[in-house]
Amino acid sequence: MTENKKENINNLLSRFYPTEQAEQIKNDLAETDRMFEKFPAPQVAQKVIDEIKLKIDRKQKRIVFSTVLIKTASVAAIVIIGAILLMQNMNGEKPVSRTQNSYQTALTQVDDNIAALEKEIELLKGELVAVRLNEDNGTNEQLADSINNVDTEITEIENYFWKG
Amino acid sequence: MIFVALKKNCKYDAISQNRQTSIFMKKQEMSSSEKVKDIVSLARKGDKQALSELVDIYSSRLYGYLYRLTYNRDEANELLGELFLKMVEKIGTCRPETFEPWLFRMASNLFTDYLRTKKRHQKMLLHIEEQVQTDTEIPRENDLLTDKLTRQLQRLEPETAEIIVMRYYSQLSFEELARLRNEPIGTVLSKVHRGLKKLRQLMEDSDD
Repeated sequence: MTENKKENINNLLSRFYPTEQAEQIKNDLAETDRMFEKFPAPQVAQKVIDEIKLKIDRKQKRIVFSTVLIKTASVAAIVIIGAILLMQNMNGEKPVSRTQNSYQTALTQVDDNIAALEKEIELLKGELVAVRLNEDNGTNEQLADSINNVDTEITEIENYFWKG
Repeated sequence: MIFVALKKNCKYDAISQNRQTSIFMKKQEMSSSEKVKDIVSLARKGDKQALSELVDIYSSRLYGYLYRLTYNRDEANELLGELFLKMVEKIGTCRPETFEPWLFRMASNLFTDYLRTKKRHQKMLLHIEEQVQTDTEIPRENDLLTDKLTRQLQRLEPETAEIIVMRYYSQLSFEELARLRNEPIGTVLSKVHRGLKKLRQLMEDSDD
């Protein structure tokens, strides 16, 4: 068995011991190898090897089974967690969209109201201009009163509008 | 003249034959280590045949190692089985190129655990013996069955005996042994040196 050892024993021993001592250690090593060969250990029985192989086979099957079990359990866990997260997301999105929708609807309604009021004001202003143009000589007292009324009304509407 | 030429020829032939044998042995060693690497790679993937081959390749050397240290065939058998089962369990963590040191380190750890358990049992037995107060000494079956070398190894310090036995059966270099034991190479060398000296002495003094 000495030949199989992958090392240069001379180099190694010379690094640590003086030549004489290194030579003695080398001899001791060789002598020990000879002793081991002279008194060989008993060989392991074939029956023991067969039993070991059988045990290995059983163990391997157990390892394969537990690996499959672990993999299946991990996949199942991932699927369950994914499903839970998905459900949570779905439930969480609805209130947000409802709030957003109602907020947008309210804004649109306010915009519509403002637009209608602005239109009315424009109409009234137009009417007032037309009446003033027809006023020519300004002799009609009744007409002047109604013009003033319309003017006041416009101002009131405007005030009311900006007050909200 | 012819005789000298013939002698030179013979010498040349012998040198050339030696060189060829050495090259052949190196090639064989390389191919066997390559083969083991391939087998280990397959075993790591759970190949049943590869695992079985590893048992065939290493069972003899590992059994020798365990038998020399336990001095008992049954215990060596049991530890061998345990070792191979551990190998199957942990082979995924081992690199194919360092399989041998890895396997023998596992064997060494297993032996250390065995020693600890044995010491505990021995303490317990001693305690029981003291209580029973038996003076009769039970002859140990092991003593009758083990060979001279194993008996003398038993008389060394367990650590020293382990290094000597490990070196022989693992076929690892001193450098690999030092790495395996997490010790400087000089320490391992000196332990082996002292151990071998003592072992030789014990063998010479033995009456067998």
